[in-house]
Amino acid sequence: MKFLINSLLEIQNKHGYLPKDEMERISVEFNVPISRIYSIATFYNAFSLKPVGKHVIHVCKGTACVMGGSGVFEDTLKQLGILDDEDFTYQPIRCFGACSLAPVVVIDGKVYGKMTVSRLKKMVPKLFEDKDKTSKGDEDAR
Amino acid sequence: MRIRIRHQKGMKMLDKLKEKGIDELYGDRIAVGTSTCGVAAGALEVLEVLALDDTKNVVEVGCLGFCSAEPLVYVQEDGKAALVYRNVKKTEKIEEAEILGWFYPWEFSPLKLEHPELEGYRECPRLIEHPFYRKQVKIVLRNCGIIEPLSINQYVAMGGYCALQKVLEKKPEDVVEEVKKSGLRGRGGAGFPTGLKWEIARKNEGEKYVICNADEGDPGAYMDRSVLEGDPFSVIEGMTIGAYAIGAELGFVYVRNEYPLAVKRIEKVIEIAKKYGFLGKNIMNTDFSFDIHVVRGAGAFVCGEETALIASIEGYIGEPRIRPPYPAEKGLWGKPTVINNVETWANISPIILNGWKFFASLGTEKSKGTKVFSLVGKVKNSGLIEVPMGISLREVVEEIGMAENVKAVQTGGPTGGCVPKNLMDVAVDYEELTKLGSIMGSGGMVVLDNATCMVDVAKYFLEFSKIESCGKCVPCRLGLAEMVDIIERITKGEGSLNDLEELERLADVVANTSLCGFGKTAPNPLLTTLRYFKEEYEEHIKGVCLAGICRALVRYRIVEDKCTGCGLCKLNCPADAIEEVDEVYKIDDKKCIKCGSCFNVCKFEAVERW
Repeated sequence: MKFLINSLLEIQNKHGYLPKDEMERISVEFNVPISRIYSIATFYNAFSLKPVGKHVIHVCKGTACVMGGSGVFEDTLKQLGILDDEDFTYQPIRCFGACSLAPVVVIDGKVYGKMTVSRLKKMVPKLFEDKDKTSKGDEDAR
Repeated sequence: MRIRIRHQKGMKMLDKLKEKGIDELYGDRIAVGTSTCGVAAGALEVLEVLALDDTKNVVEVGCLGFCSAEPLVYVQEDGKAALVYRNVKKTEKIEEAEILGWFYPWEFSPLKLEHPELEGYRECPRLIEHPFYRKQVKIVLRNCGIIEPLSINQYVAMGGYCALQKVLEKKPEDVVEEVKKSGLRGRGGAGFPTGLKWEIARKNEGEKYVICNADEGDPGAYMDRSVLEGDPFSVIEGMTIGAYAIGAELGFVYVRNEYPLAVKRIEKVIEIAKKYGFLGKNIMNTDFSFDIHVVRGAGAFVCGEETALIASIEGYIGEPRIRPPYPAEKGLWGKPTVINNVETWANISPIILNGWKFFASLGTEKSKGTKVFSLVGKVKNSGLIEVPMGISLREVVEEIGMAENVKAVQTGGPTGGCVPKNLMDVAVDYEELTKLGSIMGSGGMVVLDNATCMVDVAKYFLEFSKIESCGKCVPCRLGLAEMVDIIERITKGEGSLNDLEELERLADVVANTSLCGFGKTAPNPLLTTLRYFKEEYEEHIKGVCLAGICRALVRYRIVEDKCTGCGLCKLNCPADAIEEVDEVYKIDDKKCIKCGSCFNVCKFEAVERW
């Protein structure tokens, strides 16, 4: 049994967004108008029509995290220049279900609990320096 | 007669699995809790270090619930009970970590289980005497953190699939009756009697479906995630029993995409259950067949509403539909559909095994059994707890959570309400919480302390609801947006007393004219804060936020005499607004965003709020 949302999520996970030709392909496969695919793509938070950056940063905006002070992380990321950088995608997320570790930040899929501004300020630039180095290394090796 | 003989083969298989499971469960092992919460606390690194010693049997289990003590590791060796270590670090030897207590692996389960005798520890406390566990009664969480989530042997050793076996010998209508008598009500929030829902679906003819609602979108609630990660078999066993009772052959688990581990686990256990004949064709060698598919949610809060969820499975945007007809009459693809949430399904097999009387003996007159809550926020002990219905909020927050300086408890997720401290003696019960203007919801419980601004809390939830409104009903779509505008004005000190009346009027319209449960309850956070904390709104209108949260109403400065020059404030300033001048620090008012980070981190009270 195939489900429209599952198929779209697979495309989203593969490309980081929903490319137009893939949406057209799904429209044919499921025999539904492209307008409905578009309505789904814009209704659900998981889908994006634009490619995401190399690094994805999620800040949890769940109740426990916000009460624990996750609101200032957006300001911190702004200060670090991440919000204006094409290589980065910043997405606030509603809740990761790790509320006892609030406030939570997820960077490239890894969950960091009990986050503080100073830790974020130290961590983010360093993490990306290392990552960019290794990804460059991979390219060189090829 | 024929079914009986074939069925006995199934019994033999259960015995075999049980035997293996008992060996695995009570043999020597070191268990690390690696649910999402454990992983975030560093459990995988601890696991990696422990696994280096290949003479030890190191296994991964779900969450024991006590999230603030994670990573949790327990050691079970030489015929002794399990000894739990808390906050284990990868750099230290396990024996050097702090001991939380010891427990028998079977003692949390309400079921009668076969087990060998294990020796306890005299020198350290029992886990069940710890304040966090003392008042808990586990039914839903009976196996969480105890069994390896993907081990069918261990699940059966903890009484798994015995309920299904028992059910297959009964008439489906008797199963419905049993659930009905137990008094179980939907744990997703609305509290509709589960047995009644089943009965309606059973009476309808033709193809039918069962759905597990695992689209746990409430921020601050994660019990469904924990059950799916820690004891996924219990959910699919419950669904299989439900399918047999109503006469369905197909089921769906609709699970949030934000819970990747839960998705993986549920997909895996469906595969395993099929291999052992607990799912698929001719379940346990009977004529009953049932299959389950997993559908992932795509991050829309409103899809937790049952008709929106159904629309989403069908491949539409998640807009709720008009009820009646209820899904039990006309649901997925227009067919009778029973839709229950994860916690409800996990309750089914203990009810069948121990009988309805066992379940009905727990709780209050109208709310039976237990409820799982995620106790988070300003508490010392945070985590997942399962308590009998009827326990007071105060016991939960102050005795289990050991919270101090409580101002209010927010229950029921973003569309729930805030119960103030002086009303915390209220019993946890669907009707009692509704009377106070809150709801049971799916079980999020966020404790707010005196440093919280209640207007800001209301603003947060209204903003959430504004964004998550699907937009179908005008009052919900526009009303909530208007309410956010007004409350924003108030938090900037630009509100008037008329605004409060306008907010109440809008809340009334949204609640009474929206189609689904979301719109009907979305004004709750506003209404309860207005009801119990009106003076805070009035203070804001005068331009004062006593808690110092609302940025437009506060300013910060550093008192030179008190500043020791440690620089912690500068490190924690998100806006780079703090400069060092002559060995003390100063805030640049132009850059300051008034977030209060410096105020919160300063150990010398050198930062002043005014």
